Amino acid sequence: MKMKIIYTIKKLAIISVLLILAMPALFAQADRSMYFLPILPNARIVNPAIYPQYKFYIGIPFLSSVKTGFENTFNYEDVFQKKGDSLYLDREYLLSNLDEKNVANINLTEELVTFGFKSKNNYFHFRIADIANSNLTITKELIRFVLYGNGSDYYQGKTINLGGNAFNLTYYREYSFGFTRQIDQKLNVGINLKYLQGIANLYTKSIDLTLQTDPDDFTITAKSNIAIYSSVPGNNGNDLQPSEIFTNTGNSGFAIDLGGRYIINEKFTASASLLNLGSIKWKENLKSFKTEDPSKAFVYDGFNLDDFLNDDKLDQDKVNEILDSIQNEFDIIETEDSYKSKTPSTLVLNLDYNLTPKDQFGFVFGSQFLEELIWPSISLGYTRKFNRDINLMFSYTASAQNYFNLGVGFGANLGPVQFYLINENAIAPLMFSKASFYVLRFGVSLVFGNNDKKEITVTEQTPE
Amino acid sequence: MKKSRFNFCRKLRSLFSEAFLVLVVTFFVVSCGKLVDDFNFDLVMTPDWSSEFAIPLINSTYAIGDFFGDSAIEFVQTNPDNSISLVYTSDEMYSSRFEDIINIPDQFFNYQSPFIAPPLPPGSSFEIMLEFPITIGAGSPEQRLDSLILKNGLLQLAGQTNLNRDVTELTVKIPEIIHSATGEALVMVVSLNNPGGQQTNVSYDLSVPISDYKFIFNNTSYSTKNQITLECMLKIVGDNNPDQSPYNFSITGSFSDLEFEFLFGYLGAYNFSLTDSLPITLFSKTIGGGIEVGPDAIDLIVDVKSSTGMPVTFGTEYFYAYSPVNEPNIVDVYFNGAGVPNLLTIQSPDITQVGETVETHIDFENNNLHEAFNIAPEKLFYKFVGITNAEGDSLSTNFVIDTSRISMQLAVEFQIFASISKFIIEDTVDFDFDKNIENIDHLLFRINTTNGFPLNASIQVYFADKYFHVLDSLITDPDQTIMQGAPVGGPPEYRVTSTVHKMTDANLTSDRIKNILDAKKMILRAGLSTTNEQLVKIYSDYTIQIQLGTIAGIKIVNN
Repeated sequence: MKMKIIYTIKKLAIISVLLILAMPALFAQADRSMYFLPILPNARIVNPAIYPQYKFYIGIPFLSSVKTGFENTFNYEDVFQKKGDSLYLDREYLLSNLDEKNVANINLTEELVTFGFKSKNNYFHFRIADIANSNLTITKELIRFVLYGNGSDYYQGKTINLGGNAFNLTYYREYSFGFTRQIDQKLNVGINLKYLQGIANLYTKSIDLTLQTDPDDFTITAKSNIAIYSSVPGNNGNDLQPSEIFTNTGNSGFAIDLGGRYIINEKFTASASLLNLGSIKWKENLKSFKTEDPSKAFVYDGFNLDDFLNDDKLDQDKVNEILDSIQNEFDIIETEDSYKSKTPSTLVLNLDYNLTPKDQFGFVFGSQFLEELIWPSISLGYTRKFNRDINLMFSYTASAQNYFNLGVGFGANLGPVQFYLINENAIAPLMFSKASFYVLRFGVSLVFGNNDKKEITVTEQTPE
Repeated sequence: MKKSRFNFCRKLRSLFSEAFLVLVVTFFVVSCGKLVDDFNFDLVMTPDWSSEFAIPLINSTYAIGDFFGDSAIEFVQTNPDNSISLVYTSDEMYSSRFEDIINIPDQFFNYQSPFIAPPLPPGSSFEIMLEFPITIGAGSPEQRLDSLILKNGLLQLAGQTNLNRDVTELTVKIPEIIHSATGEALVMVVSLNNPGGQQTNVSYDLSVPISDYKFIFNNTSYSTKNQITLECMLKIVGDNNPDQSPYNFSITGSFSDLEFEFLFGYLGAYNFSLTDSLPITLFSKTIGGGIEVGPDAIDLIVDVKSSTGMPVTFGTEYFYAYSPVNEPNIVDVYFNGAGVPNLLTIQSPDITQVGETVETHIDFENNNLHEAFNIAPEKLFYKFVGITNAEGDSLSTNFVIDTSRISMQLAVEFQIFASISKFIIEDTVDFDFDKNIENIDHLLFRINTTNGFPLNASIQVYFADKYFHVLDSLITDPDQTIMQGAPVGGPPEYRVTSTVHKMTDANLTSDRIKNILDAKKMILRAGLSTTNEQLVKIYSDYTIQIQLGTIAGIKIVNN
C-alpha cells in the first residue's frame, strides 16, 4: 500500500514537472502553502472540505487575510544587466532571457469579513473578500518589435506577428457561504457558494495583429483580429467617483468551490478541490473594441497633406480626426456589448504524509485554468506542529520558469488571537531583482474552542 | 521528568518565537532596502542602440490645379487640347463717373439796358420786352450742347430799375429751359412797384431751383452755340407820376450748382486714366533662374465696358513687366509688336443705346509678353490714358449720363509652354519644433516621388532662428535632385511619355536635431528645371505623387 502511494506520488510529481517544463506560459495562483498550515481556518480557501479545528473563528475585519503576489516568467535581471553601479538594457541579452510567451501575473486579495462556526458535524462559513487578478501575456515578438522597431534592418520586408498577447484584469468582490460536512471519521466534503460582484474588468479575448512595413515607402499593411472587452467604472466618460466602485452591483456572477478530504490512514491524507468554477456577467460601464472583419487588410500609406492643413496651417482638429480614422481603417468598432468572463478556476490535489504527529510532509499540485492557458505548479511542504497553537512550515514550489522557490510560514495562536504569515519565496525580498515568483499572505483572526488538543494528545500517546 | 521536559519545551518555544520575530523584522528591513536598490531605474544607462520605427506620413497626389489655387487674380484653365494655361486677371479698373469728368461750371451773366416808357394815362398799360442772350459752356470751344437734363441747379437773378411807376410787373422767361414734367418754359414774375415814384431805384431778387428742368438748345437758330435767351418783359401801368424816360434796367444772374443727368451734343475731348498692376503669382517666390517662354504662349486680353455715348480711344502711358531678380528688370510690353504704340479704340453705345453698357473685347495675339515673361516678372505695371472724341468729329452727336463710366480688365493667358533652367524659388514659413524630443536619437526622412511632370526639382529646407540666421539644413547635398523630371516627347505636343520615380533620404542625427530646436523659421528653397531644360507643355492629366515617410530612432531609456 505504502509503495503504491509513494509510486503514485512520484508519478504525480513527474507529470507535474513535465507539465511545467512543457508549458511556456504557466503559473499558478492557488494558495498552495495554506495546506501546510493546518492550524489556519483560512486553509479552507484552498479546499472547502477542510474542517477547522475550532468551534468558532472570526477574522479581524480587513486583516483576517491579506495576500499579494506575483508570478512571472521573467524577472528584473532578465531585463537589465548590472555592470558596476550601472544598469544596462541590452536588446539581445533581454531577448535571450525571454520565452516565446512571457507571463506576468499579479494577485491581490483583501478579506473584509470572515467567520465560521461548528454545529455537530457541520461547519458553516461566511466570507467577504475583494480580489484583484491581473494576467499579462506578452510575446517575445512584441518585445522584439518594441526594441528593434519596424523600421530596423531586422524587420525589413518581414511580416511581424504581434498576436498572442493578452492583458486580463479582474477586480471583484466575493460573498461566500461555505459548508463543510464530516461524513465520517475519514471523509470530509465541503462546498463554497459564491456570489460575485464584478467591479472592473478588462478582458482581451484576442489581440492578433500582423504588420508588414514596405522597406521603400514604409507603407504599413496590417491585419487585426482584436476583441477587447472592458467594464470599468468611469467608462461613461464622467469623472469617476469612489462610491461608483463600491456600489457597482450591475455585474454579477456566481462561482462554486468543491472539495473532499479523505484520511487514508494515520499517515496519509489525500484531498482534492476544484475552486472558483464560475463566471461573471459584465453588463455595466461597458466599452468593447472588436475588429469587424478580421480578414480585411488595413493599408496605411500616409495621409493626404491637404487633410492636415487649414489655411496653410496644421489643423490639430483635423489631425485628431485623422487619428480617429485609423481606428476606422482598422475596422475596429466600439460597442457596449455585455459579455461573460470566466473566473480563473483551479484544481488542487494534495497528499499529506504524517511522519510523526508533529511532523508532516505535503505535496500539492495546483493548476489554474483560464481561457486557453493552463498554469500548473507543484509544492512540497514540511510542517512542524510545535503544539496545538503553533505551526511552522517550509515549502518548495516549482512554477513556470521558477523551479526553486523556498517558502516559509507560520501560524500561531496567542490565546484566541491567531497570526499567520506565509512567504512562498523567502529569498525574494533579499533579491527582488532576481525574483519572478513571490507570494505573501498574512492575517489575524480570533479562534475559539480548539479541538486539536485532544487529537494531538491522543496521537502523542500512540506514536507509530 | 515530565515537568522538566515541559519547561524546556516552553523555553525553546519562547526562544524560537523571539528569534523568529527578530528574523522577520530584520528580514523586512533588509528586504525593503534591497528593494529600493534593486529597482533604482536612475541607474539604467542610455543604451547605444535605438528602436527604429517607420511610419508613412504623407501620401499626396497633385495635379496642376492643386498647385495653383483659384483666386481672384489667378485660375487654371484647361485648353481644348488639355494643355494648361494660367490665367491672370486684373482687378477691374473704373474711370471716374462722367459727371465728375464733365464739369459744368457756374454760369454768370450781367446786363444793363435803357428803355423808354412813354407817358401813360392812369388806367392804361404798356409792355416792354428786353432780351439777353446767355451762353452755357461746359468744355472745349468745339463742344456743342443739344440738350442738358439737370438733376441739380439754381438760377439766381437780381437787378434794379429807376422806373418811377406806381405799378410795374417784371416777367422773366427762358424759353430754352423747360420743365421736364410739364414741358412749360421757365417763367418768373416779380413786382417792380414804385408808389408815387418815391424810390430812386426799385430792386428785385429771384432764386429758382432748376433741378427739374432741362435745357433744350436751338443751335440752328443762333449763330452762337449753346445759347439760351433771357426774356424780360416789363408791364407798366399808367399813373400821374412824372415821365423821366429814358429809364435803366439791369439784370445780373447765375446758374450755379449745375449737375446733369443727361447730356447730349458733341461733347469734345476729355482725358482720364486707368492705373493698376497685375501680380504674376507664378513668379512671386522667384529668387533667380531663367525661363524661356515658347512662341505664342501668352495672350493679352483687354475687356472694356463703356456706358458713355462717345468714342473713346485708349493709349498707354506705360505698360511694363518688372522682375526684381532677373535682368533686364523692366521689359516694356507692346500689344501689337515691339515699337508699335499701344492704342485701342473701344465700342461705345450709340444714341439708341442710352443707359446701356457696351463691351469691347480685344485679344492682342501679337504682343511681346513672351519676352517680358522671360524675366519671370513679379508684376505687370500699366497706366492707360483714355481720350474722348479723339478724332474731333464735331458734327457727331454724343451723350453721357451722369453715371456713365468706363471700366477695363486685363487678362494674361499663359499657356504653360516654356523651358526652365536653374529656376529657384523660395518661401519662408513659421516653424516651431516640438521640444519634447529627448528620446529621439535620429530621424530619417524618406521622400518618394513619382513624377508625371517634366520638371526636375532639388529641394533644400533651412532651419533658421527668428533673425533668419540659418541653424541647419535638412538635406546635406542641396543639389541633390529629389524630383526627377519625366521624359518629354517632341513638338508640337511636348507631352510627357512616362513617369519617373525617385527616392531620396535625408538624415537628421541627434546633434543636428538639437541644432534646430531653436528654429523659428523654415526656409524652403527649390531649384527647378524642365526635363533636359527643354521646352515643355503642361497638361491637365499630369500628376505627381509625393510620399514622405520617416524612421524615428527612439531611445527607450534616456538617463
